[in-house]
This record gives sequence, C-alpha cells and structure tokens, in this order.
Amino acid sequence: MASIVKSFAISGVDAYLVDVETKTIEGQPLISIVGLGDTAVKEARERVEAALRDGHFRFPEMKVVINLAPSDLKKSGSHFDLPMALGLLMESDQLHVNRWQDYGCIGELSLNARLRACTGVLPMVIAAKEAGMKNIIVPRENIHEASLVQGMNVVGFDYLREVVQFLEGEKEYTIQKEMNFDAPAEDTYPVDFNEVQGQEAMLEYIVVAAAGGHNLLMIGAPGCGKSMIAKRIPTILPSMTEEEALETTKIYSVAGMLKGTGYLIKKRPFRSPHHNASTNALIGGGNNATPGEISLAHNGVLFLDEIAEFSKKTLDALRQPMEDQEVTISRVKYSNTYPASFMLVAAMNPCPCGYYGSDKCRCSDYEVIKYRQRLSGPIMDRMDIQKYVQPVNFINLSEYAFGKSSSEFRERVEFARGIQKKRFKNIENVNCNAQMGHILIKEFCQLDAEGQRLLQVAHDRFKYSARTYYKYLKVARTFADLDSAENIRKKDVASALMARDMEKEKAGMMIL
Amino acid sequence: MEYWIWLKQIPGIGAILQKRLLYRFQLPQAVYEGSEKELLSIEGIGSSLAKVIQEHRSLDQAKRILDEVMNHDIKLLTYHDSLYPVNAKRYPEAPILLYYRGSLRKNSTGVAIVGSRRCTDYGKRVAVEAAGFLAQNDIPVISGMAKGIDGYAHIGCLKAEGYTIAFLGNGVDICYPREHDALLAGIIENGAVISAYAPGTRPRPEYFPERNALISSWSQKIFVVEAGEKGGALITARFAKDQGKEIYALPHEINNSTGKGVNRLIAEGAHIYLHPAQLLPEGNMDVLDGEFISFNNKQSSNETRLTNKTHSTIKRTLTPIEQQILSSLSLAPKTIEEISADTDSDQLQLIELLSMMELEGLIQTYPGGKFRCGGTSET
Repeated sequence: MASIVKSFAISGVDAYLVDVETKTIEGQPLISIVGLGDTAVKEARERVEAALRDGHFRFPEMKVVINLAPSDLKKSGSHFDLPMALGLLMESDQLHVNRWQDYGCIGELSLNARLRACTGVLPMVIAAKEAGMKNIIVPRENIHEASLVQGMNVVGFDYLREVVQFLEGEKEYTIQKEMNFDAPAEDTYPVDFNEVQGQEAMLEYIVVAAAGGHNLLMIGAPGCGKSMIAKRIPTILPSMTEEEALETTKIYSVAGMLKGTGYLIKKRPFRSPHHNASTNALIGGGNNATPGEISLAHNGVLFLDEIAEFSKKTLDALRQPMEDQEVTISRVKYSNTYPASFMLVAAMNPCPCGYYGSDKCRCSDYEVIKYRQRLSGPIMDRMDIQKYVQPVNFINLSEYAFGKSSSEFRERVEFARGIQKKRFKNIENVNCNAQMGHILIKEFCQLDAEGQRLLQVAHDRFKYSARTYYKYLKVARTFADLDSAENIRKKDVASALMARDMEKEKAGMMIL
Repeated sequence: MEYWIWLKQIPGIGAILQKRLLYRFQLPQAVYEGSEKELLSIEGIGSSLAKVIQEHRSLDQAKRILDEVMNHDIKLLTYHDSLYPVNAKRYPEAPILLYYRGSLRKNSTGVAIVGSRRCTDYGKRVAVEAAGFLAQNDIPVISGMAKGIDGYAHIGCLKAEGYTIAFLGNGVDICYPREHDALLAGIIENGAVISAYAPGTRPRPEYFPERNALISSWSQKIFVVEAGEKGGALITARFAKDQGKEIYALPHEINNSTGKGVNRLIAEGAHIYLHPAQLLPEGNMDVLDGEFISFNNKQSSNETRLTNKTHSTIKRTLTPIEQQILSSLSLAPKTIEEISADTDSDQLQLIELLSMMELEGLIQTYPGGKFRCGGTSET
C-alpha cells in the first residue's frame, strides 16, 4: 500500500487538498514524481534525496513513485518537499506516525534537511480547516502566517528530524519562547495629512473620495503636491474588517510577499507602480499567472502617478477589473482569478508643459485635448472625482501651520462608511457608494426638493449625459453621508457639481 | 486641366513668367504646343528656359496629380476662374493655379488674423473675439490653420457661424498639425482650405513664406495678434506691407517676449488694434473716437440682454459675499484658495457658494481649476 501524506496546492488565491502518495517498487533506484508538477515540484527529488541522506536516514534502493493527487490539476511550488520526504520515510519503514491520524504538512527542504519558509501558507491552512483537518505542520518561519487561521493546531519546526521525532511521539512540541505573536501596531503611518499646506477645498474632496470609495484623479502642475497627497490617502481610509484583511493577506501570501513577516495585513495596501510597468505587472500574469499590482492593491489604493505616461493599452486593461472587482488571468498552464477591488487614485499634469491655466503655459487647446486623450474615455469616465491641486503658496509656507490631521479626516470617513455598510449590507459586491449601479442609485440617491431642482438647473445648463448625471448623484450621496443626511440636499448637489474640473474645463475649450 | 497643372509644375518658371506665358498664349495648352520661336519671343524667357519648357513636355506628372485631385475631392482654382478674387490677383506672384477643398464665394477675400503658434491666453481671447466679430459681419476670416492664434481665429469664426479660409503650406489632403483634423473638416464645411501645392506635398519650412504671402494677398486687412521677435506672422506682415495692406497689431506688454514682434510693428507704423470694429472695411483709426464708444455700449447692452434671457434666475440682489467674490475675480481668474484669502472666508463654505454662482452664470470655470467673472461664455 502506498503511503499518503496530505498537503495542498494553490489555485489563484485559494488552495485545495492534495494527497501526496508514495510507493516503492522493485527497479532501478530513482524518484519519479507524477501529477502535473512544475519544475519546482520535479526538482524536489534532488532536495528530498539530499535531505534524507544528510538527516542520517536511509534512502531506499528502489524505484520510488510519488503521485500528487488529484493528478489532473497543475501544481507548483516547493512546499511538497516535506510531505514527499515524510511519505518516503513511512514507505521505507523509518517513520511510524503514532501521534495524529490526520494532519497536513507544508514545507520546503534544504539540502541539509532544514525546513524553509514557503509562499501561500495562509490559503493552504484555510483549505485544511475547510477540509475538516485539525493539525498542520509548517516550517517555523511560517507559524505566524498559519496561526492567522483560528482553531487550527499549528506546529512549526526547523529540521526534518524534529518533525519525525514529533510524529513518532518521541518528543513533545514546545512553543519557542522567542516567538512573538504580537502583530506590529496597525495604525501607524510615517505621514499625516496635517503636513499638507492649505488645499482645504481639495482635501475635502479627498475625504469624499475616501469615504465613498470614489476613484480620484488629481491634476496639477509639477511639484504642486499631488504625490504628497496621494501617499497620505491610506492614512484616512477606514480600517479593514477581519474578512478583508484575510483576503488581502491571502493575495500577499500567494504572491510570496509575506515571507519573514507572516502577520495579518491590517493596513490597507498602497501600491504605486511606476508608469513603465507592463500590462502583466499591473493586471497579473507571467508563466504562473501570478497576481499583479491591482490585486496587491485589493481593499486598498492603487496610485498611478503620471497616469498619462502609462501606455494606453495598459490603462485600458484596467477597465474590466475595475468593473468586476476581480481579474481572471489565463495562461497556457494556469487560469487564475484574483480579487481586485481597489480605489484608483491617479495624478497627471493638465497639459504637455504642465502649467495649463497659468501665464506660463503656451499649449494650444488641441494639444491639451490630445494630451488628455492618452487616458481613454472609459478610464476618464471611471474617475468620479477630478480635481485640480493648486501649487503651494510659498509666502504662507513660512508661517507653517498644521492643517487638519489624518485622524480627524479618518473619523469622518469611518462614519460615512458606517452608514454605507448598513445601506449595502444585503447587497453583494457593493460596499461603498462608488460601486452603486444605476438601479441602486435610483433606490438610494433620493434628492430633497431643493436638491432636485438644483440638479435640474445644472443639467439644463451644462447638458449632462445620463452617465455624468449619475456620477454626480453618487458623489452627492457621499457628501450627504458625511453629514448623515438621509436625503441628498441642495448643498450636497452643489458640492458634487464642483467635483469634476476636467470635464467642465473641456466644455470651455476652443475646439471644434 | 492637366495643362494648367503642367504649366504650374515646370521647374524654373515662376508665377510671374507663367502669367506672361498665359497672357501671350491665352491657354496653357497653347503653351504646351508652342514652338521654341514663339516661346523665345516672351520677355524673360531665354534659350535655356525655352529648352526647359520643351524638355518637360510630358503630361505624366500632371495626370498623376490630377488623379490625386479626383481621389480626394479636391477642386482647382485657375487664374482664369471667376472665383479667383480680383484683389488677390494684384499680388504679382499670385499663383496661376490653386488647389482647394470646400467652397469659395464670389469674393472670398477677407481679413487675415495671424499670430504665433505658442500664444498667450490674452492673444487667444482677442483672436477668438475678433474672428467672432468678423463672422457676425459676414467677413471671411483668413488664416493659416497653424497651432495657436491661427487655429483660434478659424475656430472663433466657425463657432460664430462665419466663413473662413485657411492657406496651407502643404497639400490640402494633408492635415498639419495633425491634431487639427476636426478643425480641417470644419473649415471645409464652412469655408475652404487652399494651397498652392499639389496634393500629397508634405509641409516644409520653405513652403510657409509663400503661404503667408497668399494669406496677405487674399486679405483687405491684416491683424497680427501676437508675434515674438521672429516668426511666420511677421513674415505675413512684411508681405502685407509690400502689398500695401492695412496692418493692425495688438499691443502687448513691452517686456513680454511673446509680444515683441507686434510691438515693433506698431513702432514701424502699424495701426494699434483696440476694437474689432477697426477690422471692418469702413472702420479705421479716424472713426474710432465716436463710433467705437457707441459700439462698445451697444455690445455691452447686448450682453446683458443675453444674460438675462438665458438665466432669468439672475434677477436678484447679490449678497455681500457674492459681491466680494465678484470684485476679487474682476482683476484676474483665481483659485478657490485665492478667493478665500481675498474674501477672508472659509474654503469649505466657498465650494457650495461658487458652485451656485457658476450655475447662475455669475462666474465660470477657467483653465487650471480657477474661476473668473463672466455672464455669458465667450463661445
């Protein structure tokens, strides 16, 4: 009978159970690994052999067949080393598991039989729990990450020999003292909004964007503080729920970005890829269809500085994930779906020279339009808020005064999000105002009489399209939420109407 | 028609000689068939030029060009055509053949509005205003469809539903600058684009002076809006001077490099531009004093009427803070931050107030996230 050790494989951000079956049969001594493993899996044979010999175990002089079942799904990763080694030891009668009936194990082996940390531990432990397992063995460095799942019996070791001794019941497991299970403080940011000078009106729209999850485009001359503001946006975002934190941590785990830390990610991620980034880097891709920046920004902020410099193709690839809040990457070998629900914050210059609207600028209106067309219509359309950032007044800079602090803003954001959470609690995939579709807008964006009249006047004067009209309604809804108003008031409409500078500017341009 | 094209394309024979040939032979075909003896009898044509003409007796190139003309829906304007303006023929080097798209009027000459490509907002506004005014008075606006002032002149005219002509330094089937494709289409629909160059000719720096001369020759008056120390607009002005046209120049700040050229024109005797009425055929400096003022009043009363018509809600007294805002904006366009500093009020409250004022048409958005006073928009 073949020996079976339970392990896991990753597909997208989720894991599934894999039976590692080991069988020795008469024949030339060699290890054959089947079950659609990638190169990392195939190479396990060398690591396992070296580790066994180094750990003073006997390597069976027989043909060894290892099967990863289900055998028709592609698997990747080096974490099958430990289950393979254990299976081989059991098959060759060097290991008799006395302790547990049912356990899963994960771990990469070094050539001298040490256990190395691996990626994707969190989703694997979640899969173990879902499969009804109670016990799991991981490399010691992955203990934190594995312990994020409640109700699992997690043990972590440094050496293969320790694992064997533990399973045979020779040694008890002791929690190492130096292990610190306290996660780093969650709410500390090195930056704060009180460092931003002036810009009060602009900051109000930042708060609205954060409160309603609206995508934000900041326009301004070089050096006016667009990036400075963007970097501070995470400081006012509401804290993540347990569920959100777990989702985000899973993505980072799969992407191999948790190594060494293994704590639950509680800060909302802030990703700012350079404009040279390829489409695959942004959306996800590569041989193994790994997550891209948009998934790494899941539940957080994706900041595209100098968005006009991104290639048009790359930007347009954002459209579908922004709509669906997830992205499916298909490659020859894999097809993975990753969550990608993020707030897009972008910054750009208003024109080729960067000083549109000031005396310095000599760009013709057609040049300005052409420059702005680097952002396709559909992308521009998804930017609910498009505001100018004004250059800082240097004269007032000398009388340095702190502005409103991030915590002050954040309180308001949390408050507005609280209202939205109640509003959307029965609606799937909608967490904030920005995600409302037309039907929800009609249901939730009730205007009072004065507000209705004002929006009508604006509509008649500026000849909005239906789409733009709804956009203003959504932003107005967030303004009302910040004041905990049930219906959208005149004042909210008036403020929302000022949220789209670019669009208004285009109307005034001398073009045909 | 191919004979016209043939005559135009002979190397070494300029517009003046072409016209002499035409005068003597009546038709280009006759030139084509003319003997060497007949050719030599024309003043300015020596044995070498006569030889050139005879050596080029092939219609291949002309036929190729004619094909292009047909394919692109291009029309030909010959020197004998009745649509060729008599005034434009006064220019000695007026081409015997022009390619155009769009439609020509019986007399298409008008007023030229020219200026630099990299223009200021001041220049832009004046150009648009002047072009709009000419359009209202049904005077063709002539310019060069370049970036900057030229483009704004055409757009200002078209937006006021006027008739405009653009002279190009390239074939009329090519759009240069490229971003002006919508403008090109607009001009063809409500005017004409004209070029002395055969279809397919790409723009080259040496082609533009001739285009500038054409702009000047098709215009009764030339208005130079903006020009640095050198540039196409000044070349147009020089041609205009040679052709004896009235030149109007927009005064600029003396230490502003973008206006040095026009200021020099004024120093050299160009008329100072103060009001679009000067560009009318009867308008000049002398009638300014009286009529200019009365005209100005008429204009402003017009504006108020328009404002009241479109926004009836405006008939109310302004609150003190609104008055403060308007007086702050009367000097220059300002950002919300500057308005807040001027009026000593809170930015957050201004958001709502400014939005309301914009809806009422008291203020309007200005590029760069600023606001400015303004009842009706300029368009």
